[in-house]
Amino acid sequence: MTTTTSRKPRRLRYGIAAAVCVAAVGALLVGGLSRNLVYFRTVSEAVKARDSTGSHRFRIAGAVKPGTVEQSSKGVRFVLTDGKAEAEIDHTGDPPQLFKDGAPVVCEGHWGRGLVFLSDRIMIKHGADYTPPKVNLTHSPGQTS
Amino acid sequence: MTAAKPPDNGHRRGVASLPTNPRLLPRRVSVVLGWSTLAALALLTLFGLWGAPPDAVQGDAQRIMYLHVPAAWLAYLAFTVTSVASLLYLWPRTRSTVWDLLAGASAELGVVFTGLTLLLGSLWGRPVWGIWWAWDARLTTTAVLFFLYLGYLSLRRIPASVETRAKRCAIAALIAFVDVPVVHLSVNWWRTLHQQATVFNPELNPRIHGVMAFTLWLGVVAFTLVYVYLLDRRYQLAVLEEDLEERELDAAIAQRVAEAPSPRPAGVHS
Amino acid sequence: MSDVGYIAAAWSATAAVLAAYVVRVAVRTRHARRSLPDDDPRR
Repeated sequence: MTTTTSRKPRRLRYGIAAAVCVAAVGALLVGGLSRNLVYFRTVSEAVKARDSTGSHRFRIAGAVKPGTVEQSSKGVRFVLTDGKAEAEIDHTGDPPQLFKDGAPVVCEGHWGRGLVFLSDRIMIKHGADYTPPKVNLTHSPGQTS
Repeated sequence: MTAAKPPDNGHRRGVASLPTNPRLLPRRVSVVLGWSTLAALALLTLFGLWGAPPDAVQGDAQRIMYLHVPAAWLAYLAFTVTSVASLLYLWPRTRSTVWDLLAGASAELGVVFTGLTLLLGSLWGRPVWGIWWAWDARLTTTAVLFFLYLGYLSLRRIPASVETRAKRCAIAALIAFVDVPVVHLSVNWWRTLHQQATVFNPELNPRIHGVMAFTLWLGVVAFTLVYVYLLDRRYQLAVLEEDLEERELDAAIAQRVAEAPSPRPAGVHS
Repeated sequence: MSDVGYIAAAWSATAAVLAAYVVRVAVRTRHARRSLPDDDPRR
């Protein structure tokens, strides 16, 4: 008799578990994926849409222009470039450990005055090439897109 | 002399529909495989932590790749096996409970490997990207994959006759599988923080240096051994538990029949 | 946490997850086998 009596609670328990999983999938697709299909804008795109963006939050991606990194009272300031356009990043907080001249980065924040982007999060977008430090193949480290 | 025959339960086949052999591999093969798996994992640790050089850009943190990437590939493989087994169940000429139980065993391993992939990816992302998690397309579709198959495993545990459950789960498995190619191609389809494929890239030109490439393949071999070993173990468990469940159900039905004078035990089993 | 910390966490997490899964399957297999009647061919 134990099995037949335990079947109804089991149906309920795993029915709810399955429904929760389906709900989680739905929430991830609607809340996570639909808003972030374009995870970042390039510097050119962001500069072009400067006026229509206002002070909305978004992510901007490019490379740290060598020689432009300077410490500020809140964190770091540097120029972000994608080769065609440039924006000045005013970042609050400590940059991640792989942050350096030429590093490909994604910054999260919003436009401040003019083409100054006020960032509060820096992510390093590294490439998919793996080499030991000495070997230099055709790609130079840190420059991969 | 109808007393010796089990009571008529409509189309219920019970224990008779289960495979007689609960193992995919002979016992000796399984034991040898278990030890080989441990040896391969030890070798992977040796190469992953000391044999392979640190990466030029990422330094030592890149070593987590030797676990993260094999875990992700084995999750793909496990879900592929689940799909093939589900198709073989749905096709009338090959229909067998064996395929249903194999699909369930492989899906559970796939969920374990997907969970590991997410965990290891997080531990790799924190030192390298600077964050534990990003809501980009690759990470989000991988989380979706995890919940899709977790839902599939829940569906498998909802009580039903062997045939009903197998059929509905096989269809659910095939629907869930749609996400596997989406996960793999998400880095090409959409802009993600996650890097693109190193090995199975659109140019089919692996961009990884000698010893590092060897270590990555070692990881894939080791994790494949883990998968095959565990699939055999988990399949045996599925057969035994199914057997037990059917026997308990048979006993419960027999008891009902003995208690009630009604000739047809309708409604006991749906 | 240094790189070494993340690497150690990754290796231990993998070992822990796989070991826990192996043990869980083994324990359930033993329990199921013991609950089956002696004449069951699948034992």
